[in-house]
Amino acid sequence: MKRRIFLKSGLLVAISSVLNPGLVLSRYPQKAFDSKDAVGAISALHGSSSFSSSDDIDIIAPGITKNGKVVPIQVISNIPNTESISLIFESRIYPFLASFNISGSEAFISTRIKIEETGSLLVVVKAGGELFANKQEIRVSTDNSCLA
Amino acid sequence: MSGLDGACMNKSINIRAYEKDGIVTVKSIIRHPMESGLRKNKKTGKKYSAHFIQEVIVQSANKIVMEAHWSGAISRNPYFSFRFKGKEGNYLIFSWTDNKGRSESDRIRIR
Repeated sequence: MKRRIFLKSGLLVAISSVLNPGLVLSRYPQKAFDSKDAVGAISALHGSSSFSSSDDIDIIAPGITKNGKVVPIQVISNIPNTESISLIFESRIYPFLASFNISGSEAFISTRIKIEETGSLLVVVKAGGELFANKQEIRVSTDNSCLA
Repeated sequence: MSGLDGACMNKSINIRAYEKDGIVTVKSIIRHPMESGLRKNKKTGKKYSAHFIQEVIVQSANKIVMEAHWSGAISRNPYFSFRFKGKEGNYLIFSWTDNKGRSESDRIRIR
């Protein structure tokens, strides 16, 4: 049976390399995702919630959007030795959206997020053991009138 | 097992990876409902049960090049792009696991 699966999908290759002790995987940070405030989520994830603001984190996100269900965002960290990027949306019930362990990557990610209402996207970057953050407001507009 | 069978029958992962100057750009779209578990059915008032991808792992040249942990706040049919230092011709293994334990994996060659 195992051999069949192997032949079928090659998935076993993936699993066996995931189990390779040389590759370090971190656990799903359930506590951070369960946290109902941004500070709690950051400390659940990183063990500390103190960060310094940094303009070296570029956030490309729409300042205003009509469709909160699909909001394209991009994050580029220009901080050397960036290890991870975490996305937090402060007005959400569970503010912690996602984290990206990028130690094997360039410090760039792009995805689409769901936000129920206007709020601030807080991007926390861990680099060289320290935390840095930058934020950008995203407004969700449901009416069609011109917004100043 | 059903998850694995599903992987063979019906691929959910659409992925591209290309290298330029030693940097590989990966672009992917996964077909998945990404139900956060917070959304309510307007008629019954009941919450839709959570069903979302929790983990995405991408490997190349026997190294993990990306490990992502997601909540249900990533949009339906997630788009995900990132970059890493890699080489054309190498393989890339992209796999996801959702909160119901279902997982899928795809392997492509970096162009």
